[in-house]
Amino acid sequence: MAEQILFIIFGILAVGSAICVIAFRNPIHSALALVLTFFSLAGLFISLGAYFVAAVQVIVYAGAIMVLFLFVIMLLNLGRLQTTRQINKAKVFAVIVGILLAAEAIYIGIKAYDGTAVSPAQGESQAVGAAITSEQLNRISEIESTYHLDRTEINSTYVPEVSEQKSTVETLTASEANLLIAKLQGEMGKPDRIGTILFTKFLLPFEVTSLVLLAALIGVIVLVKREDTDTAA
Amino acid sequence: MALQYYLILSALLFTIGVIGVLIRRNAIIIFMCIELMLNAANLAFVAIGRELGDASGQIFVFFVMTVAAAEVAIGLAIIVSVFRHRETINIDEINTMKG
Repeated sequence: MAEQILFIIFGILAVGSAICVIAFRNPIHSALALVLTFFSLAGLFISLGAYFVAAVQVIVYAGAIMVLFLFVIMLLNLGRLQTTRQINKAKVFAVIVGILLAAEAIYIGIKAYDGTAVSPAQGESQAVGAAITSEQLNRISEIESTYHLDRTEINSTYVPEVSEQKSTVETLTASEANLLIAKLQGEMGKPDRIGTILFTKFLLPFEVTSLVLLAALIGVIVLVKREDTDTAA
Repeated sequence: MALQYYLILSALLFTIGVIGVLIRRNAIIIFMCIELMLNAANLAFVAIGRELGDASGQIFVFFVMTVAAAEVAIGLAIIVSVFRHRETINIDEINTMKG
């Protein structure tokens, strides 16, 4: 229920401020509307359980990137550069293309995912009291290896939260095992889990990312460097 | 909350970004619309990752953010150097490369 309310509030806020970004005529107002869009998306990330992503969204996007935008807008003094608003053929065409694209994307969003790849935590209902299945055990060991968790840690920390009397994964019933998997997956948005897989499974992409940033850094310096000789010396 | 609603919201945000790129003539606003589209993709990544119980979706969001940061830095540098030469960032007037 809470997630529905958050989704409606932040969803409307995100779409409304996104429309403001393209509707406002002053670039500074557009930039501020974009900040609001980023904040609403951070709210949606929180309701999706991606807490660390939400924090990074606010710090990096709403903080660093938007400050860069505002800096350039104010540096170039673009507030005065406003063109007259005219409705021409290109704009009508753009809106028609946009509506068609939205219809297509929404159709794909509804149809492409029909719920067949349901996560094990929400799988088919099993008989009450049935023992834990091998599929669930596989899933738990998969989570263990992904997040570098210890079976003893799961046994001592997470299993008692699911079923008070039990202390090992193997003694759980199937429905309790579903709860345990859901609980383990629910923890995945936390910074320590994100960090664990970022620095193990995704270590190479992470390092390559640093090269992208280095290339961008050098590129920016080369691009904005004045070539006239009087300032170079 | 079903995945479909998040995908629909993501599609709407992406489309608003596309319309913005098509109708606005100010290069900086076009850049903001590109950021909007990247964020719509991020929302889809996180929502699908949650549905599949896989944190890889959230990791991809970090990579998208890094690429976005690099892209903004380069793009704004290009805009600044174009403004120095042409005194405008209206893309209708920057058409030297138009064939």
